[in-house]
Amino acid sequence: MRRVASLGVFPLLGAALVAGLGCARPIKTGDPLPGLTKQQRELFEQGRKVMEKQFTPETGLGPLFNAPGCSECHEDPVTGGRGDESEVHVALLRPDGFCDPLAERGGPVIQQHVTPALHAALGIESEPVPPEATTRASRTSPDIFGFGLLDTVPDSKILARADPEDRNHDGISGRPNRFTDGRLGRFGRKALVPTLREFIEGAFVAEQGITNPAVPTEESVGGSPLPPGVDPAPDPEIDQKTVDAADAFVRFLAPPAPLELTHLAKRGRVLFSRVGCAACHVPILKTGKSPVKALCHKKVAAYTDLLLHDMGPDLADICLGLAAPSEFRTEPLMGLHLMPRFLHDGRADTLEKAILLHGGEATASRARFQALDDIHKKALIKFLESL
Amino acid sequence: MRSRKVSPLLVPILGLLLLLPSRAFSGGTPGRASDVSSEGAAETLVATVCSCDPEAKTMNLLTGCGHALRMVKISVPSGTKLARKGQSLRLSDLKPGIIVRVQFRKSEELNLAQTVEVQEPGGGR
Repeated sequence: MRRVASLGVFPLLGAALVAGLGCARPIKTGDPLPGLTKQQRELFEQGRKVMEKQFTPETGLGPLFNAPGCSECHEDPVTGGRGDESEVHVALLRPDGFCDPLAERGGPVIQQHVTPALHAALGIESEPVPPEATTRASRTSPDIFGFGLLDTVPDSKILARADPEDRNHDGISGRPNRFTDGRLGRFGRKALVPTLREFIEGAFVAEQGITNPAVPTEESVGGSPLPPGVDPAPDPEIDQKTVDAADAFVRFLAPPAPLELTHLAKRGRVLFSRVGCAACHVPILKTGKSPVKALCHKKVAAYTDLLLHDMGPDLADICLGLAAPSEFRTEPLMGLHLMPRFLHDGRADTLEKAILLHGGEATASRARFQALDDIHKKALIKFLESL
Repeated sequence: MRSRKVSPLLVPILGLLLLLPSRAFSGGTPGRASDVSSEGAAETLVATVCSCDPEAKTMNLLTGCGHALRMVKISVPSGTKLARKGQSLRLSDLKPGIIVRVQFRKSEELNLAQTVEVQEPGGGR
């Protein structure tokens, strides 16, 4: 009896050793980066609460807003994931070529909702689109996994891939966008925003109408000031600690783990480079120095170069910063297996359709994809579905 | 054992440093800084020229944070030093899209420029 019992202990002990000591727990979607300190993980969890908080007019929401909370648009399959909302952006492309984001008329983001107080005062359901706007764009809400790693890629690494004059004659001429003060941009579909911190600070105001220490003023209503009495919360409506927590949550979100590659998908990975996708969707970026060990000198399988590329007239919408209407930042493909729709406005419901909608600099790659036989096309799609 | 002497200034300095707001995770800040002097708040803004009106002696500068973009109107009185790489400029030379570093002071409702200098893009990480 004792012998049997003792024999039974060994497999259990072995399993416990493997589970507890031998293998790291696999990263699940929505997990923080591995290697964070206890303090950083606590801040991450505080940030999750900020992301999931539903704001009200009394706690700062609006008067103009797209959503009452961050996780309203970054929710699927977990907080930080994609959303099913689409929003409206506008711009004025002047005859002299200057791209005016209509900051004097309420800015490029057209908020789709208003608080009851603003509705009562002005009788509007959403921010009016300024009549000067020459172009209008629809934007889906992407997931924000792994963005802290993207933020830590040095400018020099991004600029090293820029080839605005296409001097190597490969038909690919990525170029950087610049923020209003000239710094390199990398966040947003048009790569306007230089840092993750500013993207978050700006999004609190432009998406939720929540002023904060970095942006202490509300959006105007198409350029007109807010009527008196419609904004009950004093500015700034959230404090620095709250912004820091939200920043930590997004910054420390791990990229989604790619799915295991099948034999077919492995063939697709080779084709991804051969067809030319990898010229812009650069498979690996390396981060630079960071005070956060989990972000410092890491490789991230982002599948982007964070540069602007001409995607052709069919996809063109607004200009933003230096980005022409047809120029978009190469969309990171990490987490692609979690996405049900593709491209900046979600117009493609399959990956194959998304590839076929690539124009401009991607025309040659698209043609090479179209020339593949069915099994090779399937292999490439299988690879993309694993990311 | 040798005893270490701690400067009496060190403790309050360290205390003040702890009270400063943390920007530990910040990759950068928008191009705006202020310096309070006895004459009032002097500010520096690096922004894009959106429009210029030489007759009214004003310019509208595009600035902001993320996608929350803002317009700042700056008055450029006669005698304001405008330059590009040390060369003098006229206000009419500041075309839309040019990036400028402006030192200005707030005076009642106006932002009064003191110096305007054309900047090259850059200043990143």
